[in-house]
Amino acid sequence: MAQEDSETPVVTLEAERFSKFLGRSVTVGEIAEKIPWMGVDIEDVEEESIKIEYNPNRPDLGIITGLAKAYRGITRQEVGLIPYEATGDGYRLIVEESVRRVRPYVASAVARDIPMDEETLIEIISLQEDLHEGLGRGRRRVSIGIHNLDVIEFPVYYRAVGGEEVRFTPLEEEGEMSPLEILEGLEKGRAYAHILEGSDLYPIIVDAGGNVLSFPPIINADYTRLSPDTRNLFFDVTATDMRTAEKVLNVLLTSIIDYGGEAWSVSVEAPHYAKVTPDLSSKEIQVEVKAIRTLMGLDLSNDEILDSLRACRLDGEFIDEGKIRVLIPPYRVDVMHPVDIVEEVSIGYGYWRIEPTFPRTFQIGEKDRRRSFLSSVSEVLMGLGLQEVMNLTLSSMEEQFTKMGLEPGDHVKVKNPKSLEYEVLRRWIIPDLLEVLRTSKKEQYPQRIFEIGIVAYRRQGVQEENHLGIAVTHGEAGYSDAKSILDALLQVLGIEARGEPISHPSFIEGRVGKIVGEGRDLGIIGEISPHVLEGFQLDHPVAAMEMNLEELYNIYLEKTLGGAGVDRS
Amino acid sequence: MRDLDVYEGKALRVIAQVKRGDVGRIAELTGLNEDQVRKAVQGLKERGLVTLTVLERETITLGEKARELASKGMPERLIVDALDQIGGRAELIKLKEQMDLGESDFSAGLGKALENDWVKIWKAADNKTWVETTGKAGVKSVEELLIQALMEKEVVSTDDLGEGEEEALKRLLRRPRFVEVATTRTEMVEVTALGEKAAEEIGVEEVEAVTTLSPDLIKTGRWRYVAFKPYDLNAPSFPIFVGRRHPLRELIEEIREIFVSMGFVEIGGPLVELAFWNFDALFQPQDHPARDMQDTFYILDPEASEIPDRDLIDPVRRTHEDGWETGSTGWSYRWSLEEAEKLVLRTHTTVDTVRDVYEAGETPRKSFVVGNVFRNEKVTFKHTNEFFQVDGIVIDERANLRELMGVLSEFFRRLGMRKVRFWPSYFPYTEPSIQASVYVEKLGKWIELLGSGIFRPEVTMPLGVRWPVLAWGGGIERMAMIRYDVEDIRDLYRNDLGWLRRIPKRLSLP
Repeated sequence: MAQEDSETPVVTLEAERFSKFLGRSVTVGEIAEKIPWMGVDIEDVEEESIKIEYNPNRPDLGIITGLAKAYRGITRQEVGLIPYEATGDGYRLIVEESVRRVRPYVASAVARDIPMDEETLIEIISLQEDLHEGLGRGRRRVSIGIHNLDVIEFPVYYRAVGGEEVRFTPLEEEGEMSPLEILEGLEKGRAYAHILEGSDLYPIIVDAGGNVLSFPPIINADYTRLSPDTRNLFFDVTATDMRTAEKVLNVLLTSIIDYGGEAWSVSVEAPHYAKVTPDLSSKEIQVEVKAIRTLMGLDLSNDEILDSLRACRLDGEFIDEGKIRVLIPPYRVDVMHPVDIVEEVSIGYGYWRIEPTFPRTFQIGEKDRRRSFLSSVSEVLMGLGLQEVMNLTLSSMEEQFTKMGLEPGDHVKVKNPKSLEYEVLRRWIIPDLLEVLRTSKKEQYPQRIFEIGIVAYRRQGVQEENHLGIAVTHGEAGYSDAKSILDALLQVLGIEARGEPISHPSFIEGRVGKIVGEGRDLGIIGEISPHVLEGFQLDHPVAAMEMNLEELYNIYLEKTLGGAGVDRS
Repeated sequence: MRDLDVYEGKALRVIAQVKRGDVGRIAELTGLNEDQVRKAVQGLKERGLVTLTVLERETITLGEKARELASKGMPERLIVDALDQIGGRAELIKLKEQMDLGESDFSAGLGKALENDWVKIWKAADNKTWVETTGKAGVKSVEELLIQALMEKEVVSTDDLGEGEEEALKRLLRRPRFVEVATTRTEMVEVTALGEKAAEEIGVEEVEAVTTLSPDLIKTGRWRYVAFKPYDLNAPSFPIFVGRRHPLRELIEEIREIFVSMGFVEIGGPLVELAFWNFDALFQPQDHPARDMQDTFYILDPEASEIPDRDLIDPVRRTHEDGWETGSTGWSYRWSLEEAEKLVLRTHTTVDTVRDVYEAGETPRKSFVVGNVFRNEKVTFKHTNEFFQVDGIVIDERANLRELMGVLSEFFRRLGMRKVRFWPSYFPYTEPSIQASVYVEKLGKWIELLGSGIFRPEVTMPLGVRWPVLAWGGGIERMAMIRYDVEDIRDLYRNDLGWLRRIPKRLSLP
């Protein structure tokens, strides 16, 4: 849980401007206290402003108008659903067959008489970018063009053309370019070219006068550029699916007409569909009242439920059979299921008012047996005076193999590491321990350390095992240092094992053995080769051991339980 | 009076201190040998500083034979006991054969038994010799009593013998290797009044100052006459390194204890997971940014694996695409099996709890998991690409939001964090969703520690569960950083031995 998206969108709210949208004066302090009630996080609080993070399921909170609307609700300044409406005025967008294989869907709308100024424009553009990243999935799924309506001649056409078929001046550029030139030559083009990869046709939106308005999902034309004086807007929202296109359009359009002004519809006419967009009507969902009460664990009255919903700018009416019909405004694109309404009621009611109670579910607690065994092994080693260390499971090929004098073999690599330090799941623990000794060279000797952790390798898929690694270093460290620890550990566990001579490039020849117990290979023990020590820049001898704790655990179970309950999972 | 020599001086000091002691003891105490002490005592005696009394004593100890018999008993006793067992009478030859005594012990024993009047012997008409008890062996003989006394005391002086015991000694001495008598000679030295005065006059010798209390000093008793050099009590000590857990592990173990004590069962799972379980089963759409290569580690080889739970594939696919039977709209896109079969390093331990939901089904259950998870992030002071998480679930028909808050509150309370705050949050797989923050006094601020919620029906229904499932999880490093005052998360994995050895232990105090 708690998977934080690395790029959670952020909005900065100036208390003064926010007050203007609320219609009452609020302080940064009040915003900081109450805004989290609606489910947005505070990233930073400054003297005059506050930086908030909103969740990707609520793009309507990505702009000051949407935030004000929700804030008025949650503070009970103004509650209930705001109706939206778009009227037709003969705007047409003709979709041609050619876009079907490239980017088949488009939704469109017009907004007129927007009280535009510089700040408003910046806020709108910022929401547009957030929608591109979030619902638009980096423009792959949806991209938005916002244009100056006044220069456009209707009907507008959405078609796909060859890479050199048209030329136009892209936004903020001088001189005309073809789609191919844009993809190769402009920063925006290169950034989004992958979306159109594999197609030899390029979508463009062009007006009746032959002016190119945009080249979705890459860039708009300079011709319809917005300025702080642009009061009338035309929107094209192209997409790989119609539903998401309409969601995006609704969020954007309602946020904009919240500034003032009016929405107008566009008739989208395609060979494969025809639709008047936007659809700004409220959606309905029926929810069982009992389900709300049970899931919340609160016996709320009908009034309390309705009040809570209205605080979230929803509305509803109780109907037969213990149900409530809930009305959802067009900008709420997150409601998929009746449980989403339960959350709205909880938020509207206020999480802070809900009193926690411990679950009634009765069960006897129990630790995992295997982990308890691992803990016991740790305890023995700590009793022997060894210090536990913890390293990451991700490691480098260099450390795991090259520095240890080994040829890589059955290791498990990841595809796309951000750094080569973390390219492989570790195959064994001893290299990590040598690295610890290297970083602790200035610390007092003797140094005796151990680690219990997971290693992985390929054998009929990926195998994972818990291993124990130990390392001992001091001026006269040698094989017997490791052997003493091994013997003590085995004695405590009541297991017999012995070392059988082997050759291993990481260890000194003649001072390295395979640990064999009950006829099974349990690990390796020996003195680290000076060649390896040099590679880790170590100047004291090191005795080390690595054991497969899964095998040791199985033997232990066989010994203590006579084989009953041995799990080999 | 001529001056005392060194040995005389040493001896006098010791004798004056102990008042009275034999030469052997004086030798021990002075560190001189016995001859040196005798010579010194002679000199002191001539000056009237000490008196010397020579005591000679005879002492009796058990002989080899008696020790050997000690565990069984005297031969005469064995014979009587054997007779009693076979009815009090037997033919002599048969008795001898039957008893496991040597020839000489048997004869000696029989002789003694006759002497004690414990048995009588007669020849019958058939010329066979018979032996029979007299019934008088009930009382222990004087020999037996003395041997018993010797066994208890080891050494007995002849001076201390009672009347009967003297007779017993005589008798035993007639029997080879039963008892041994030796003469010991004790030379007792005693200080006189003059001697005490003289000891005072010569005063305390410049005593030897020692650093180490050696075994030799203790054994010889010389410690009495040496002075111990004082130490600087705050001088640096020789370091002893305690074998300790890593601080992060210490917290992990504590968290395990907490959940077990709250009635949760511990579960686990592998690091390498199917995208299907890590994402799809959790209703995370396949184009969700978290599934991007930029955020998730995908395995290079093997790249993919078959989904063993074949019967789940269709419900999960349908739920993503159109909501299936869950009552949801779904994400409306084409779900790809290929994408779900990819292998990833698990990005959260929620993968283990969601699988547990599937395996447990609609059974009341509380389970938790602690394990390392992976995110393909740039490593900074705030984030590592691998870290530990704890996740937990409660499956119950009656489970609700209040109970979810209850579990989290109780968990934090046991970690010593009492101020807890719940805010709305968002995860693709829970609804309602809650984030839990705690107020950290020493930082003076709220820190978000756990994400939680009730699993969406889109998650549980394809797994065959309609009951509410409470779920939560969070990173453990952040809790460890608060506890151990660590500001850079990478420090937890730096394994600086100096830090690991010296960081003070922190316990949760609920």
